[in-house]
Amino acid sequence: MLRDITLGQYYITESKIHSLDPRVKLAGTMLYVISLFLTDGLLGYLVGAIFLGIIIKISKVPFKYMVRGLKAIIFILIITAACNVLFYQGTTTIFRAGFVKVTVEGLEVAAAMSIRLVMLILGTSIMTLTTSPNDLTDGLEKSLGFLEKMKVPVHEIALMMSIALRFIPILVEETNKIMKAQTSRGADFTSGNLIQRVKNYIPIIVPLFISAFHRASDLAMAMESRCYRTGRQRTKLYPLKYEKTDYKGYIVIIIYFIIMVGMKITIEGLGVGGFFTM
Amino acid sequence: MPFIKVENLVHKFFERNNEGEIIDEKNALDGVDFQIEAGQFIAILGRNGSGKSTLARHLNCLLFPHEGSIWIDGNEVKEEDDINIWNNRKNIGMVFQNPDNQIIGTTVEEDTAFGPENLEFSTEKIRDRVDNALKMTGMYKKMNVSPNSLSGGQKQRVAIAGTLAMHPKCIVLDEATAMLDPDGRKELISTVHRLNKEEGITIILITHFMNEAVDADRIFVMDNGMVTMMGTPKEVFSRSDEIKNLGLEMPVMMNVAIRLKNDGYEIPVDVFTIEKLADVYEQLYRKHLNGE
Repeated sequence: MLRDITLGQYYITESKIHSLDPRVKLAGTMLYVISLFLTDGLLGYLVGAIFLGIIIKISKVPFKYMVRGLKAIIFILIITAACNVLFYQGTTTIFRAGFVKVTVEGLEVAAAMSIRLVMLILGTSIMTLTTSPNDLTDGLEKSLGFLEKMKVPVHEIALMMSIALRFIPILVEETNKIMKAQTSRGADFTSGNLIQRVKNYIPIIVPLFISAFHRASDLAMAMESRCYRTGRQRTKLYPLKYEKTDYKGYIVIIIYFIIMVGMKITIEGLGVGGFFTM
Repeated sequence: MPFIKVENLVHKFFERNNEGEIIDEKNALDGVDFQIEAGQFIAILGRNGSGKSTLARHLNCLLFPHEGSIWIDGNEVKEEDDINIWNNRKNIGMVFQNPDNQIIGTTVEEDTAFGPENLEFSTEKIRDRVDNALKMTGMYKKMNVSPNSLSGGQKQRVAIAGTLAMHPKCIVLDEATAMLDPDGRKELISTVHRLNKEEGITIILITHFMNEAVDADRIFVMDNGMVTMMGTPKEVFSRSDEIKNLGLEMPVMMNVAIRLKNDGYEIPVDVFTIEKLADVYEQLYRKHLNGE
């Protein structure tokens, strides 16, 4: 399960998207997410999907690799869709059994919701797949730099985030190791009711925490021995600097956003709504 | 003036109860004295709990003496002298035992850049330092790779590169080979030997593998927080009974040589490597053939 989540997993290759400034990608992702929540018509989703498709193509991240990230949310996806289909209070009934009725509107909403969720996950994972965690935190650090004036330790938080990201695979590996060790001692993680199962995980959580604290203390010492000091401005191997392509990136994402907003306004103005009626 | 001078160094560890009161104290270092000249290759041996790591941490100003004093490059280490402390940390690089717990960056080059970034160098200077350090440790081609995909030996070489990028005068390896497989160990030891010879960097290698100590200029053997033996590998390993009493293993080839000697063969005292032993054996065999 843990391994299926591609979020936060950098896919190393060279592409135009990879070399964009992380700030552009952050802003782009934000505008993209907003645009998804603005649209509710088929055309809107189509434009969004085409835009996303082009970006994925340019990013050179294999589509299969991206879809892996969706596996983890399939469950949520199915439940939301099912709830919408069964309980949405529509008027055009297709099918009725007891108090459950399936309506055209319910199907529409379910489809719209699922598409929106899938595009949301794909859109945000494109950012994490094409931006190294360090770039990402650099981007966040720079974008949120103004908070430093309000005494928020932005730099320290950014460093914490990037270290946390680096340790995720190590801790996942360790979890698997501890799990196998406890299984070999007769621990059972698969049977029993929910509460029992949660309780069964205690023999994993406790050693995992102990080892994580050990690692943290080792790492702090290693950082100090390499002259790390808090509250100082560090220089960077790759300082963030806008290049020509970054400005182009901004322009592209803004044009996309304007189109989406424009469509929303004009189509509503024309009074053509609905999903299948489009 | 020696590069590192340690005088009567004492460090105490305190055991506290739940209220934080000290209930017991133990001298982890109990009057350590030694001097190290610049450019030397020193091996520090000793069993677990003999104070090796505690000593190493003093050299890097991660711990401070309770008694006695340390001079590094002519300056005495003082806990309140910040500038001197940062200088020492820059001049003396540390490589720790666990390869995973000392790599901070998400790629090899980002990790190597961590030290120079802390020293507030310009971007060009950082680039330069990182490239050189990675070339010196043979990790230049792996520059953009995630540390998680490297072998243990490679991770430790990245850790060395991370300290090299700060241009240290000395590198302390605190049991850096303990978690490596034999290949990784060899790889790392040959790297530090090369740095010692070619770059003139002082190396302090803390280990409990005797075979890694045989090529050192000098060996310190520690026990119970004290340096109990000091000398060239030849001097130290010729006192095999004392070594065994300290709970340490002799280098394998030395054991073979000592056995042969006990059987009445003429064997020199400094047979540390298998090549040397083969030479000696060949000579003995020739003599045998000649009927001597």
